[in-house]
Amino acid sequence: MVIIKEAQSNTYFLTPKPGVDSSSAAQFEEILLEGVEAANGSVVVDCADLDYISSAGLRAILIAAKASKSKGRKLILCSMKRHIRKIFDTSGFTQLLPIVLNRDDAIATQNGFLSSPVRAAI
Amino acid sequence: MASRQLENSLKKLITLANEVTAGHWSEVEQVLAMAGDRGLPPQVSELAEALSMLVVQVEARQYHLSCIIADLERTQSELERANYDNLTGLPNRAIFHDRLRKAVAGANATAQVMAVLFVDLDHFKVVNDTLGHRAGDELLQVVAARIQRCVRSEDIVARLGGDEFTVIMPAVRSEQDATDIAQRIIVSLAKPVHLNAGEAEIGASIGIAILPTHADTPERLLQSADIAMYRAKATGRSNYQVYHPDIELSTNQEH
Repeated sequence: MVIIKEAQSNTYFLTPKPGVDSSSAAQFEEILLEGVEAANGSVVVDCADLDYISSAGLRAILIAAKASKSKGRKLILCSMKRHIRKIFDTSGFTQLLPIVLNRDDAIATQNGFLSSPVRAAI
Repeated sequence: MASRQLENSLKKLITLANEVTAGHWSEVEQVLAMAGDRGLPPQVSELAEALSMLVVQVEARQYHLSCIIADLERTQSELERANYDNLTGLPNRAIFHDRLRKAVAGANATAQVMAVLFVDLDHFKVVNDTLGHRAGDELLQVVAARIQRCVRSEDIVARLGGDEFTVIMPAVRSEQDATDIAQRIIVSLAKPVHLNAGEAEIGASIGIAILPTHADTPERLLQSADIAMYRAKATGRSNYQVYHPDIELSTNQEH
C-alpha cells in the first residue's frame, strides 16, 4: 500500500492505493492518526484509488474517527468506488462519518456547507 | 498434513471466537491477525476475516451509540440548565415535578418512606411592598440559601414560583425526620434578613406530607403538603403542620 499525503490550507488529504488489508492496516492507522494530529481543520481520506479494504482497514478508520472526534477535528471520506461504498454502508460507517462524492464536497462538508449524516458522530 | 493444519487453525479460531463472545474483547486482535495470516489455509483466514468484519460492525455501532448518548446527555443538561430558577439557582417547577416523580417511583419501588415539605413565606408581600421588588428578589436569594443549609445532602430544594419553595426528602426513617427539618427551616427563616434596602422580618409556614402514609402518587403528595401548609398559615404562621385527612375536611369547611 502507498499513501499519498497532501496538505491544502487547513485540510489534510490522504490517498491510499490500491487497498488496505491486514498487512498494511497498522501503517494506515498510524498515518491516519498522524494526519489527525497534524491537521488544523479536517482529514480527508480520498478513496478514489481504493480497490479493497479489509476489516483491519475499517477498524483503523474507526480508531481515527474516535481520535478526530476527541480532538475536535473532522474525518471525511470521499470519492469511493461503488463496491467500497457498499462495505462502508453495511458496516454502519455511513452513520458515523461524512462520506461524500468528491474532494470539493469534502471541503464543503468541512466548512459546514454540506450537512453531515449524523451530527452526533462528528 | 494439510488437513491437520486446517483442523488446528480452525480449533484456534473457535477458541478465539468463544473468548470474544464471552466478552474478552482483547482477543479481537488475534482474530484480525488470523484474517491476515497468509500461512493459514485460505478457508480459515476467510472465516477469520468474516468474523473480524462482524466485530468491526459491532464496534462501529457501539461507537455510534456512545455518540448519540453523549449528544442526548448534552441536550438534557442544556434543557435542565434552562429549567433552573434564574434568581435563586434552584430547580424550578419543571425540574421539581420531574424529581418528585422519580423520588416517588424510587420510594414505591423500594418500599421506603419519603416526605415533601411545602414552604410558603410569611409576610413576603410586606417586604415587597415596603422595601421594593429588588429587596424582594434579594430576600428570595437569602431564603433559598438558608433552606438549602437546613436540609440533608440528598434532599432537593426547589422554587415553585413567587415565595413558594418545596423540599423533596427522598428517604426518611419516620415523620420525625421531616418535622426536624421543617423546624430547622422555621427557626432559620425566623431570623431577620439584612438586605441592602433595610432589614426584613419574615417567617415560614410549612406543610408536610409523607409517602405512603398520606399519598402514593406525586400529585397527591404535593397536594397533601399544600393542604397542610394552608393549615399552618391558618394556625398562626411560622409553624409546620403534618397532613391529616381531618385537615382537609376543616379546610374545605372554612372555604
